[in-house]
This record gives sequence, C-alpha cells and structure tokens, in this order.
Amino acid sequence: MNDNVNRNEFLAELRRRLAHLPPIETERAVGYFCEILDDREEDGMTEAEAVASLPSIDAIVADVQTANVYGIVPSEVNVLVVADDAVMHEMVCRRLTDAGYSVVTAQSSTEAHAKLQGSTFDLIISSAIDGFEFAQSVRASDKATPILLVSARRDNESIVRAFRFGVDDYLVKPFNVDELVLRVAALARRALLNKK
Amino acid sequence: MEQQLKRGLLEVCVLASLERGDSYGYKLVKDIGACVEISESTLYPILKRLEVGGMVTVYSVEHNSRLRKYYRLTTAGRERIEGFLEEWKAVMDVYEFIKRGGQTPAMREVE
Repeated sequence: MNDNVNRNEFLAELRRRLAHLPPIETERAVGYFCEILDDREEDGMTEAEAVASLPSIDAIVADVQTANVYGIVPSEVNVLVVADDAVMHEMVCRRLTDAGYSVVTAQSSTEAHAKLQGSTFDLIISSAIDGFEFAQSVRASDKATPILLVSARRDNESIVRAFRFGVDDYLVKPFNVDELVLRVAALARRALLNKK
Repeated sequence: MEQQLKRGLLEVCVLASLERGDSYGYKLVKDIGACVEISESTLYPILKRLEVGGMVTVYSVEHNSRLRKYYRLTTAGRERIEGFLEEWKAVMDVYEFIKRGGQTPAMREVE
C-alpha cells in the first residue's frame, strides 16, 4: 500500500498528518508504527517490504483519530487564560500551547473582560486573585463557556462558593499541570459537544 | 462482519490474547490474525482504549537496543473477558432462536 516510500519518509509523513493532535499523542502514534516496522524487519522483511505492508497513511490517520479519546482537536479549541501571577501564566500557557491549544492570555480580570468582548472562547481558565468575582461576572452574561477556576483556597466554603458563582471545575494550587491539561480536555470535549 | 460488532470483539480478542502473557503490538496482530482479520492500524486505537479504560497497563522493555512497549492484562481486563462471555451466552440463545426460525427448543418439543 505504501510502495516506493522509505521508512523515514513514511514516518515523517505520518508525523505531519498527525500534527494537529497533542504532541504527546502524535509521538505515541509515530512511536507505535516505528516499533511495528522494527518488528517486521526483525521478522525478516526488508525495510521497503515492512513499509509497503502497512495500511495506507490515510487508513492509519483515520484509525489514530479514533484513538483520540477526547474527540477534540486542540488547535480548534480557543482558551482564554487569566492569570496575574507570571509563573502560573507561563507554566499553564506553555503546557496548553505544547498540547496544541489556541491560547489567548490576559494579565487581569479587567483585561480578560475586554478580550471577551471582542472574541469567542471555548474555555476560560482563571487563576486571578479576583477569580471568584470574575467567574460570577462572566456568568451573568454567558451561561455556556466553561470556566476552570484555579485557586489556592482549599476550604470547602470557597469551593462551594466557586461553583455557586458558576464555575465548571475547580483546581487547588499547587496543582499538577498534567491534571490541568486533562481537565481542560474534558471541559473542551463537553463544551464542543454542546455546541454541536 | 458489522464494524461496531467487530470492534467490540477485537477488544476482547486482545484481552484474551494477553491472558496467555504480556505481549506487544506486532505479536498481538499475528496472534489475533490467526482468528480474525486485524491490522496494526486497527489495533492502535483498541490498545489505547483498553489502556485508558484500565484494562491493560503498558511498560517498555529494552529489546535489541530499542524500547518495545508491552501490554499487560489487569484485573479489570479479566473482568471484561468474563463479562463478555456471560453476555454472549444470552446472545447465543438469541442466535439459536433466529437460526431455528423464531422457535425456542421448548416450542419445538410442544409441537
């Protein structure tokens, strides 16, 4: 099926066709097929035979897509990150950008409100000091966009207050960034399903 | 075979294959391929779903100067196989009913 294509070309093309997925997913899929090619060659096939015997790139891309359990394409998810803390800002934005999300940042809730006037977002993450009030004011006019509130307040009263103000998810600082990325994927999946 | 049905069957085939011991992608395709057609491409999302569902765990082992991913059946995976076998007992009754032209063995005895 992949006649006249060498191994490196095949893997490069696969990586290119899967570039819209989070990098970790792309590398996982490419690594899997790289391993399959190694095993086929070890089993006696030539490099060309091993590549030729794999399903077509189109079929592979379609199958890998179905493994994208979140059912979202991160590059199509617009995230607004509101953070007045530079470290938090940098850490969250970098990880979300690495995962393929389209990220817009705001250094304060006031700046975030201004950005919300001019654009549509699929998800808002707020770790601003006035994050509770910010969530409440967003909810006054926008019932749909998911809000993930990140706060150092871990007491039950604060968590209950946050949800009463209309947040969809709450993460206590310090937190694991991987967990934040997974929560973003889950919120984005539900938001996009509702949109459809 | 209907695609959705085949996908479900393939998942259990992968789990059943792992009952014999930990395995890796290429070997799973060869082992399962003896019973039902499967490609490495089809196997990929199945392994991912099983891993996300906690039915297999993954670890890497060095093999000929490279890393090879191995898959191991978990308790949840074993339970999935048992659940599947139970469900299919009921399906087999329906199969027999259809095969016998809408009759159960009891109905035949009455006739």
